[in-house]
Amino acid sequence: MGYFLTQLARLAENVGLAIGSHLTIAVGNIFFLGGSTMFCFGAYAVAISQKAGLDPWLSAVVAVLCSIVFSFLFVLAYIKLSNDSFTVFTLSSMLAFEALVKSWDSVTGGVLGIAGIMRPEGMTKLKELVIFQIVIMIILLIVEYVILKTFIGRSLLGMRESKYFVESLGTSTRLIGGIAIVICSVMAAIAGVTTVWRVQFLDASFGSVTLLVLTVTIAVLAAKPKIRWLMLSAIFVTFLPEVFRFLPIPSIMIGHLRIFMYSVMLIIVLLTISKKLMPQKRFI
Amino acid sequence: MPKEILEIENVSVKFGDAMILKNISFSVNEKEIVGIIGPNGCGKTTLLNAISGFVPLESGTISYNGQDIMDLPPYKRAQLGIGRSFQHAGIFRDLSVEDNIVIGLEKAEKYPWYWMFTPKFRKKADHTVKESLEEVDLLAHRKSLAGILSGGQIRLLELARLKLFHGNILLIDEPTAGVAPVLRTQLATIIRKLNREHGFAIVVIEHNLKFLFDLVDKVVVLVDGEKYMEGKPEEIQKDKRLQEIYFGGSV
Repeated sequence: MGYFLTQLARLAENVGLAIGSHLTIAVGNIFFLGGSTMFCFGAYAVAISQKAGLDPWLSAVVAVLCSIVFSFLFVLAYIKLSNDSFTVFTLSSMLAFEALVKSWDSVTGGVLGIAGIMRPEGMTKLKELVIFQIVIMIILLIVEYVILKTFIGRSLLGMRESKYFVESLGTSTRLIGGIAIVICSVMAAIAGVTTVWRVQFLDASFGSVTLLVLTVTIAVLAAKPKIRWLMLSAIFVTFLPEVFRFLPIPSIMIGHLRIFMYSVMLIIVLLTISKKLMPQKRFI
Repeated sequence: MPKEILEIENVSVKFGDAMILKNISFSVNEKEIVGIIGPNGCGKTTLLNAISGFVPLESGTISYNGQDIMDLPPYKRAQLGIGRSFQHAGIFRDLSVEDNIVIGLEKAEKYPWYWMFTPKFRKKADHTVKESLEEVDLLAHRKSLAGILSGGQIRLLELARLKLFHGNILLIDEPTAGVAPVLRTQLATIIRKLNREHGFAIVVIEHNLKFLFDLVDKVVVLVDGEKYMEGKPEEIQKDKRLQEIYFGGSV
């Protein structure tokens, strides 16, 4: 029972983490790779707030508010940098965050991390927490669905083809891109909060390259700007590596095999459907 | 005396070391249709891009309704009322035909972000979309992806969206490019309607001279990035030197 609950929790967490990346990468073609940084940020913010004596719920609110403020750093980079530089910036943000977490011992616990993170009242049992995570996942999916139905969604889809065309209609592509980045960051931070409540422990390896590859794989595999594709992709990516558990492979190898599988999937997807993911840019 | 709404003064544009436009000046009056012609590579599209704010100026000024718009980004110029269509049609091929109208409509009419979820706005939008698509014979393709339309239908869709634009001037780049002759008359009718019924001044680039001369009040001729001449279509057609150096003998 515990195994299935954990898998369900992982699915909810992965979906939460990937929705934002789906919105930015698959819908808007904005290669924002800071989702995993924001996932860690949310987790650390909730853990540090709790360490400072805040109630778990209040610490979650603090984490989400802080993530909104922190996401403006990415928005600023999006406005100031070219597309390629922005992608590299968001990628390096994860390394910078990891270095900060490792070196700021007094607040983050350094390499030892923070243990004993409390779950909110009423969710002390895994089953209760998983139900809550699934509810959060559904809410986040509804939020993305609503966004796709509004001018933000349409403009993001338009930006895939040409920023010029969108601007010519009187819409600021910087504003739309900025909104997408803030939404992506907040969703990833929420996923980070619920994940750290489940594992109740946090260290610098919490948001590693594995997490980034997993997120991008889900977003890229979804390819189409449709919620059902995102869900299918998340289910596939979350559960596929579980087959390793039933094979005679040493448990220490499973983690490496999982990241290897994600990477191979990512390469195959990019080679086969890159045109769908990155439609040909049209110039004026 | 007609009111001047767009004034271009000594506009120069440079890409690297190449001077693409050199000291171009002309003006557009209210409800006037101005045609821009010239050989390929003479800077016609660059001129429209400069007016829309997509390329920076090396020197010169552009004012719209007496306001200097040089420092405004493209979307602000569009918000002020400068509409634009593109050489390769500014239609989003991955959106449905309906959404291509809606994306222009919701911006032009300043619908609230949640309008899709309110019956009042949905009804209003539905009516406008239906009316716009009916006018260009695209109602049957309402739910199809715009990418499957023919070149001519894409042009018609772009003009249907421009019709909903709230502004005073439209910059239209090669409306008949890739369009079958049978659709050209329909395009001309719509452009005239945009001018006469909706009150837009129009700046249009076109290679099809018959189409252009029948449509415009004034023509600006560009050659090698410079303004060669400006005048009424009949004056332009009579210019012997122009016929020799540009039209290869006769218009």
